[in-house]
Amino acid sequence: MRELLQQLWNGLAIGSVYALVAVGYTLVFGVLKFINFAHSSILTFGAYVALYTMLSKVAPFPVALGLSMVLSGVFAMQTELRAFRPLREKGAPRLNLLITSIGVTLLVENAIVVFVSPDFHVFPKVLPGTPINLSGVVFPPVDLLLVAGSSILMLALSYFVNRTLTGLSIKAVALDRDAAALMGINVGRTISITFFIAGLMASMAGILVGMKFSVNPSLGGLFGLKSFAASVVGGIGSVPGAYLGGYLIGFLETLGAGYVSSNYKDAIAFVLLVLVLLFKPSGLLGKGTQEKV
Amino acid sequence: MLKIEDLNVYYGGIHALNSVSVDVNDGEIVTIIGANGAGKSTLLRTISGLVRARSGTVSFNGKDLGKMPPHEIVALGIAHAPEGRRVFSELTVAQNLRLGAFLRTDKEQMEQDLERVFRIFERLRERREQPAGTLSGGEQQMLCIGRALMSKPKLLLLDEPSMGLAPVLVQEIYKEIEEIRKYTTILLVEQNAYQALKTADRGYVLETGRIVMAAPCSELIRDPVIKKAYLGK
Ligand SMILES: Nc1ncnc2c1ncn2[C@@H]1O[C@H](COP(=O)(O)OP(=O)(O)OP(=O)(O)O)[C@@H](O)[C@H]1O
Ligand SMILES: [Mg+2]
Repeated sequence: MRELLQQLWNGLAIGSVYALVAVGYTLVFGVLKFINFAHSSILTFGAYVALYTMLSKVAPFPVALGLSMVLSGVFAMQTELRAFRPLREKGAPRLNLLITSIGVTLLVENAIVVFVSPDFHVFPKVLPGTPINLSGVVFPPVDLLLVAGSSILMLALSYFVNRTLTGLSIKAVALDRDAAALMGINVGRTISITFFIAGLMASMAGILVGMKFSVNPSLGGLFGLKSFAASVVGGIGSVPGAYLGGYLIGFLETLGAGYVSSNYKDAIAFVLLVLVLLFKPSGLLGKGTQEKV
Repeated sequence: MLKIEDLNVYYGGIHALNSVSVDVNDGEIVTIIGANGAGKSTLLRTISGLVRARSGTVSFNGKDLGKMPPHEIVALGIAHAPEGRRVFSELTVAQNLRLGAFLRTDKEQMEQDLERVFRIFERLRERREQPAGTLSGGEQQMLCIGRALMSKPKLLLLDEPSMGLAPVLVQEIYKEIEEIRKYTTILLVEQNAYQALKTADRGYVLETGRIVMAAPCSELIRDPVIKKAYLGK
């Protein structure tokens, strides 16, 4: 029982990471209908901004966190403005966008290797060192922060998407871009806002996995891929689907590692992805027929 | 208020509009009739900024719309109820109508306009919390027009409001267009030439991208050529 509770908690913590990142894939897919593989590089970017803010000791952790989130949002917005928008305006097929997004990831990772540092960094200690121990179940402080932070962000996002006019306009652009423009919605600006939010959320995930493990130039790679799997498992385009997919993969992965074998831990997300694509191609909460991605 | 001069629009090699000139004056209903593929929707989409002209001008109350993005054109007071309704199917009727008023901030006046839309299209009132995708075709058309009205337009562009509707619904929609004209200038595009000519003040006939005739509707409706080609008589 104690073991199971521990696994469930671990699953919730890592699932929060996947959910935070998956929602970015889903939001961007919603408005632009392509998988933005550059999204994983935002995770890395965010972790580095926070890391160097802390290393240079210019600001306390909460400020570093906030700064990184805002800068990551802006960075994500800039990738769209500079890499994707010019292509879209030339009427390039979506495949070109997808390939470009992979290019952006390579560019960011290698830029970090060349201009920052190729090394693994341990995140400076900002949280109390002793985990909370409740009758044998261990809650590391970084996990608590991860679960709390991601919950707050997800609630805020749900409020924003479902209760504000700007949120409604994102849905409108996702459903029918031309019709949205005819409502007076500035489509370009709405797409920028979407990228900003996606970047903001990915950054929180990047910082916290950086703190949990370490910060390195390919930090975003595997987390990004698993989160992408989570967004498709949940139904790409669906925000609740991204959360569901993220937590589902988090739980299955830790339970699988705990009770079966930790050798296959990283494969679980992709096995689930294949199964979902076979039996419910539009994803668990996806609607109707999805276009091929 | 709307002045279109010598407009040329291409899709790749297809010359969709060929030196088209159209005027719409304040308070009028002007109609453009034409067969499938004549270029009617292209004309409305060019006015709205969704399609760019290669040459020619579109101006609205003296302002050149040629380089404006669609959202700025809406802000000037042009609303477009597009072909095929294009309602946001997963959003509710109320959310669709709210999006129609996207640029507005005058909450009280918006409430009154919403009430007016519900008075014109009573069926929408009881369905306000229903996803637009679950409405019938006629109701979606009403929502499409109602949504356009929510921006409080000076000029309303209507693209085939009768498309795919049973005759009694066509009658109903046109009855409401008569109501709407009391406060909005209308540019109406139709394949249903009879309805359009009966309702509008002036008409243009568009054939494969060219305006071939322009006259008051009372004349067009009696014209032997029009009768034969468009009214099936
Ligand atoms: N996006 C597009 N790409 C290429 N060709 C197009 C496009 N849209 C329209 N066309 C072509 O331009 C011409 C005019 O089309 P348009 O839709 O304006 O006609 P329409 O008069 O509205 O027809 P309908 O009554 O069927 O709606 C047609 O030949 C059509 O095939
Ligand atoms: Mg048409």
